[in-house]
Amino acid sequence: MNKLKRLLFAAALSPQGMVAWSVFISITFATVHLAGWRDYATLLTGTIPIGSSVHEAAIRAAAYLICYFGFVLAVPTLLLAAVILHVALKYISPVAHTNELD
Amino acid sequence: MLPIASLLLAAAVWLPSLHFFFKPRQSSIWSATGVPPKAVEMAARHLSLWTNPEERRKELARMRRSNAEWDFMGRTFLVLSLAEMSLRDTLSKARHLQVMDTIIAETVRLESEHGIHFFLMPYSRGRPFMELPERSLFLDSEIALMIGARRMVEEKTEYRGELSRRVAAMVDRMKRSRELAAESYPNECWLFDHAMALAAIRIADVLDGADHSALIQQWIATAKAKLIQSQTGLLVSSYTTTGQHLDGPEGSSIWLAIHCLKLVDEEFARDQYMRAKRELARTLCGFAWSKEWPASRQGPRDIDSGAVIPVLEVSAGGSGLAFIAASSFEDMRYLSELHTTLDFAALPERRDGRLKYCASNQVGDAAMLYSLVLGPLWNRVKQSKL
Repeated sequence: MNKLKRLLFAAALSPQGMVAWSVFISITFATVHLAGWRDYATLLTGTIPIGSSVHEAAIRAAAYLICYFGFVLAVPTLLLAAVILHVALKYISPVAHTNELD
Repeated sequence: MLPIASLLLAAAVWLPSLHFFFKPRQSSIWSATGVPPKAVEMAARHLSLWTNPEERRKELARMRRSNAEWDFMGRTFLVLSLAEMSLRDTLSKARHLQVMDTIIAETVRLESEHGIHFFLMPYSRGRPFMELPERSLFLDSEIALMIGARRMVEEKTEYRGELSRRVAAMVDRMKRSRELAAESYPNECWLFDHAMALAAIRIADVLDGADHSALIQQWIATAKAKLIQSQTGLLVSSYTTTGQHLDGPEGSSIWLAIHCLKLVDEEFARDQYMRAKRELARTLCGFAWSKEWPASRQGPRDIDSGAVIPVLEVSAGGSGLAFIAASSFEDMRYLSELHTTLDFAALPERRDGRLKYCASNQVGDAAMLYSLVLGPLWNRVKQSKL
């Protein structure tokens, strides 16, 4: 289990892993957006959409906001980091790259 | 180590640059004479609500489910916005006057049919008002302001009696208290409503030739003496009819009060604006917002504040009304940064030329619309001789 965790962690911290996470976050955001959950964000002003319970509205609002902020904050950061890491591994630290792959 | 360093470096580049993607052009949010494009889009959405009964019913129902006050305040901000837009663009005046009249007529009818509690929160029935028969300055001030704004755009003689009655009622209730404090809720007097009342009284004076300047000056003097919180120098939000403080300064009260006070005592309003900016306004990486409470205050949450986002202490209610004060004092930097935050975090949705913010509601959007167009009405009142 620990080995699997280490593998996933190492994969996530590679350029490809960062791109994969960006794609995952973007797809999740697109899904909740297309599902119309954006309207539930009105909960931020204490307004509950008609036809929803407070609980349901809170879950959808939280999910949408997490995905949205993930999309605008984390995705560009991950993509930028992937580029930086790729360049660093390729041109600056080939030894470190080899060690990390080992 | 390298991946972590890459992430940190990427974040250090991206996060401070983020605001560039949401920063509005000044011409889209500010115009000295015309109607800014953003206001046109927001107004289109509000006008569609008032011309489509089903859409309006749904929107008002979801606000009333949380707070009936918001239904009422949304009407006030929209009427004020339409008055300002009519003064900015005479071509749209006839259409806007029609909607203003519809809103005023429906609001007065609802209050008349259901009583004052229809637009108040349920705790208004929790105990008797100190002064009877029960009246709420919240309703009188905003209805008077709506009618006054409408008449400033174009006279409508049928409204003269209603405005005079409202002003007389507000003045009578204020004079019953040594602190000139009229109730909005039982033994609960709000700065927000008194500031609105003073603005409405000043407008009524201009329209009907009365002179309440002595009362207004007396209220300002009393407020300076008794309603200022010592730690911040800011006006408190609520107090009893004897002037005992209830809630301290709050973003959801002070910003709007400052705008209204500008009409009756600009110097005092400016002083309050500077203090409110110091205590409540916050900026980070090109984004701005308002806190609900100064650092010195810890206390229970008020529903008017909406959600308060922890750590950064972003208050939805406070931030929404900060637009109005920033616009009123032409504080372009703060205003632009507030709009940057709005477009980033309030989830704008544009459809068929209409703009709404999904993280807001009708009253929030109407307040934002008002901030985009305010100016000509106050100027016209100030330029009119008593």
